[in-house]
Amino acid sequence: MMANCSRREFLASMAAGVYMTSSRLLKGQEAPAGRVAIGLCPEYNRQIVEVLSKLFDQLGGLEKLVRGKTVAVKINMTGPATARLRYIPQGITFWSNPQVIGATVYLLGRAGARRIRIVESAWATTEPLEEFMIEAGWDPRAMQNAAPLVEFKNTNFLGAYKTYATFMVPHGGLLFTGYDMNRAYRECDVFVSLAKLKVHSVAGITLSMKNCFGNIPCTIYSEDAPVDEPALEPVSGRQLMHVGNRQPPKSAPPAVNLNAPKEGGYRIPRAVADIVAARPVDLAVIDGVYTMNGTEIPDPRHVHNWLHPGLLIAGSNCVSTDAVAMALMGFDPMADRGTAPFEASDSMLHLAEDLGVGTRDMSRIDVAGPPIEEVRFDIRHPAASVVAPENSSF
Amino acid sequence: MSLNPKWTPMRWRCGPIAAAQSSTTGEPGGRENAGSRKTAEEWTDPALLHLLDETPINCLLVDWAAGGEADAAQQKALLPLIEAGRGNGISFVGRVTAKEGLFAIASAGRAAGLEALLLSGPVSTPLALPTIAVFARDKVDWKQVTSIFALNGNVWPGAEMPGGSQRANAPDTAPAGPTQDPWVDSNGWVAPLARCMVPGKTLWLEVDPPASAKMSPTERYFLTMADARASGCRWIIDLDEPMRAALARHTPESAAAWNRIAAMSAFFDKHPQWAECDSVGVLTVVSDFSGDNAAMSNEVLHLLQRLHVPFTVADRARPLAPRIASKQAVLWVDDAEPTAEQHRLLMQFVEQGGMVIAPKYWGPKGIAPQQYDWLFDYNIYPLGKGKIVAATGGFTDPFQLDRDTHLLVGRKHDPFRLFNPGTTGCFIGSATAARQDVVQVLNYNAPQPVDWLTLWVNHAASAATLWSIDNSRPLKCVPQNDGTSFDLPPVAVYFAVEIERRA
Repeated sequence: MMANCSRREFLASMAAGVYMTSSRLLKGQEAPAGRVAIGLCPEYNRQIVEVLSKLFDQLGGLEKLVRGKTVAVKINMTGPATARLRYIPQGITFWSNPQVIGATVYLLGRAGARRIRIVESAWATTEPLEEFMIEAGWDPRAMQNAAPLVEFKNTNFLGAYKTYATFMVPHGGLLFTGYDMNRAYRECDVFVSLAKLKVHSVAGITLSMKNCFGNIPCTIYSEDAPVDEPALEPVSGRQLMHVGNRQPPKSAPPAVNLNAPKEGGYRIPRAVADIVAARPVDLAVIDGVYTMNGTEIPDPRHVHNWLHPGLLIAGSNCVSTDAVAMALMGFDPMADRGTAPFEASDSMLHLAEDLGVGTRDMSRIDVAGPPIEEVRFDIRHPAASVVAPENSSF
Repeated sequence: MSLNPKWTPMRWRCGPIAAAQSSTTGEPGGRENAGSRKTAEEWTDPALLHLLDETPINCLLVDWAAGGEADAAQQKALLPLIEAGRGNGISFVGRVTAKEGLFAIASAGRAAGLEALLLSGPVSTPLALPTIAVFARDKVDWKQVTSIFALNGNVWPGAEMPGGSQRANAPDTAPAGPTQDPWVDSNGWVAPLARCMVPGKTLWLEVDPPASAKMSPTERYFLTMADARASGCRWIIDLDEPMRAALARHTPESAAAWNRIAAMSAFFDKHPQWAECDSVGVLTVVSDFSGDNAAMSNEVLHLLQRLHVPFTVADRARPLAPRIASKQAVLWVDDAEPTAEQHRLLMQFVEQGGMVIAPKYWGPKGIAPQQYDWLFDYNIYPLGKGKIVAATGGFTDPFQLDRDTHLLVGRKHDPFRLFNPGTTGCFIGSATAARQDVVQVLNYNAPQPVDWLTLWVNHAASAATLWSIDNSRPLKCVPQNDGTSFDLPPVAVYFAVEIERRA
C-alpha cells in the first residue's frame, strides 16, 4: 500500500491517524474553561491602564503569571503598513491599538516581568518591527518606555537566531503536524495574544486565536518559500496556508493530509487551532474599544463601518476568551459551518475545543464584568457607524 | 534664432516620411497599411492646424530628413503647413534622422521656416539652425546636451496589465515587479536627474504611444503628460495613428479626446511653480550617472521614485557640499572611490551624524564593522556620530539597495506617506519661501481609479487644496500626533495637493 509513498507522506499519514484516534478520544473529555473578564473602556486614553488592570485582577492577577519571567506579546499588525481605512489610524480600525499595547506592557512590567518582547511578523520584510511601526505612523518609543526592558521582534523571518523552533501539535495536528516559528515564541515563559476584535472575510472572526496565525513566518509558510529550506527573507503573505497550492519547505513539519481540501474555510481554522494548541496562549487580550467591520483589513471591494464597541476583553484561555468576544459581537460561539459568522468556514473555536485547548461553551465560562446582554452589539449590522471628530486626537 | 524653453512641443506625424514609417513599423510584421499612409497625407493639410487654436501647443516637430528618397517630397509637402503655422505663431522643429548632409539639411530647413532641428546626439559643426540633441536615456552624454534636449527610449507610463492569452484566467491581475506591487512603468525619475546634471536646461521626452488598432484611452495620454510634467519636464505630445486618423475625419470622440489633452496641457502651464519646487527628503544619491554606472544609478533613482522615497541627485563630478547640506544620508552608488576632497567632506558628514552607504568600505582604517541581524549584506562602521554602511558584496540589485537604503535611513525621516497606494506614484516638492508643499499623485492603472488613498505629511498643515484638471477645492486637514493626514478622493489619473505649512 505504501509502495509509492515518500517518507514525508508516510509520516504525514501516520500523524493523521494519530489525530483521528486522539481527537475521538478528546471528544469524550471536557476542554478546559478559563475565566474571562470584560471591561468598558470608552476611549483610547489613560483609562485603559485602569480598565486592563482591573481585568487582569479579575483573572487572578498578573504577578503570579509574569514575575521574573520573559513575556512575549503577540500584537496584530496584519497586512502592509500602508493599509488604512481612510485617514483613521490602523490602531483604531484593524490593528491592536498602540495605547492598549503600551498599557499592557506597562502592567506586565509593573507586575514584575523581567523582559517583555513585543512580537509580530511584519508584512513581507525583515525590517525591525520598530521601523514597520514608524511606517504605519506609530511611535515605538512610547511602548519601549512603558516597562524596564522592552524589545521588539519581527518574527516573520529568522532574525538574530540560527534556527527556527519547531512546535509540534499535540495529538498530531489538523493541518500540519507541527509548525516552525521564530524562536522568540519558544524563548518566552509567558505568551500573550493581544488581538483586535474584528471579523474575517473567510474565517468569520479574528480574535486572540486567529491573531496567532501571524506567529508563523512567511519565509516558510508563503508560496514564495523555497522547496527545501526557509527563505532568508519573506516576500509575500501566507497564501500557501489559505489555499494549499503547495507545501512549505521540506525542513518544516509535514502536512497531516496532502489531499486535504484546498479551501481557506477548511485550512485557516485548522491552522489556527493547531497553532494555539502547539504554542499555547497564556493570556488573551482583545482590543474592542474601536474596530471596523467588513473584513479583517481594509478592502475597497467591501463596505466598512468604523465602530465603537468601547470594550476590552481579557482571559486566561484563548478559546473561552474568543467565545465571549464572539458573544459580544452578536454571534453564537457554538455556531458551526453554515451559521454566522462561519458561513464559509469551519469554526476555529470548535476545532480548538476538540484539540483540548479550551471550551467555547458559555455555560462553562466564568465571565466577570458587565452582563454580555448589556454590552452586546451587532458587528455586522451596527446601529451606527462612528464618524471621526473634526479635530481627531488620534 | 534660438530655442524657446517655453515651447510646448507636439509631434506632428505627416508626409511621405511618416507614411513610409507607418507602412513598415505601424503594424506587427510591417505589413502595408493604406490607412496609415492616408492619415500621414491628411496631416500635411494646413487646415488641421485649427486643432491648435486656443491650446498651449506652440511648437510642432515635423519629420524633415530621414536620409532617404522621401526627403525631398517630405520637405515640399511641409511647406504649406509651415507657412500657415508660422502665420498663427506656431514654431516648427525639423526632426532629422539622416546621418549625413546636415549642413544642407539645416540650410533648407531655415529657408523653409523651421526654427530648429532635432538631431540624434550633438553636432560638432555650426548649422544654420539651432539644434535640439536627442539621446537614448541610458546613454546621455551630459556634457553635450543642448539648451533644450530630448531623451528617447522612454516607456509609455502605466501599470502593466496584460490581458490576452498569458493571463486570460486573471485579467485583473498584473505582473508583480520587484516592488511587490504591480509593476509600474514611469519616466518620473529622469527629470530630477537631468535637473542635477544640466541645471537650467529644458528636457523633452519622446514617448511613443503603443501601436494599436484603437485610440488609446484619453486617460493614458493624460498619464503620460502628467508623468512628465509632474516630474519637471515636457512630453512631446504624440498621438497614435487611430487618433490622428479620427481627428482628420473630425469624429466627435476624437475631438473630445483632443480637447481633453489640450486642457491637460493648459492645466500644467497654469501651475509652472510645481515643477520648480525643491526636492525634499534626507537622502542624496551620488553617481556620475554615465557609462557603466548609468544602468545601476538610473535604476536606483527609478525604484526610489517607485518606493515613494524622495531623493536629491548629486553628480559625482560636481561639488558635493551643497547637495548634502542638511541631509541625513548619502547613497554613493558607483564603485569608484571619492576624490580626496570628497572623502574629507564625506567623513566630516559622517562624524557629524550622517550616514554614507557605499558599495565597499573606503573609510578610515582600524574601525571594526558591526552587522544588523535584519540586514544581511552590509557592514556598519561607526564613525563619530554617524556611520558608514558598506555592502559586503557590492551593489548588485538596485531594488534591494533602495529598500535597504530606506530602512537604513529610517522611515522616521519620511516627509510624506501614501496609504493604500496601489498603483499610484507620487511627486513631492517644497517651496520653502512660500511655506508650501505640493504632492502630485498619479494613478498608473488609469483609467481604473485607485480609491482609499490617504496622504500623510510630517508637519502641521494649516490648509490644503486639492487640484484636479477640472477644479479645485479645499481639503480637510486631519491633525495627527506626528503630522497631518488628508483623506483623498478616488484618483482616476492625477491630482495635486497644495499644502500650506502652519507657521
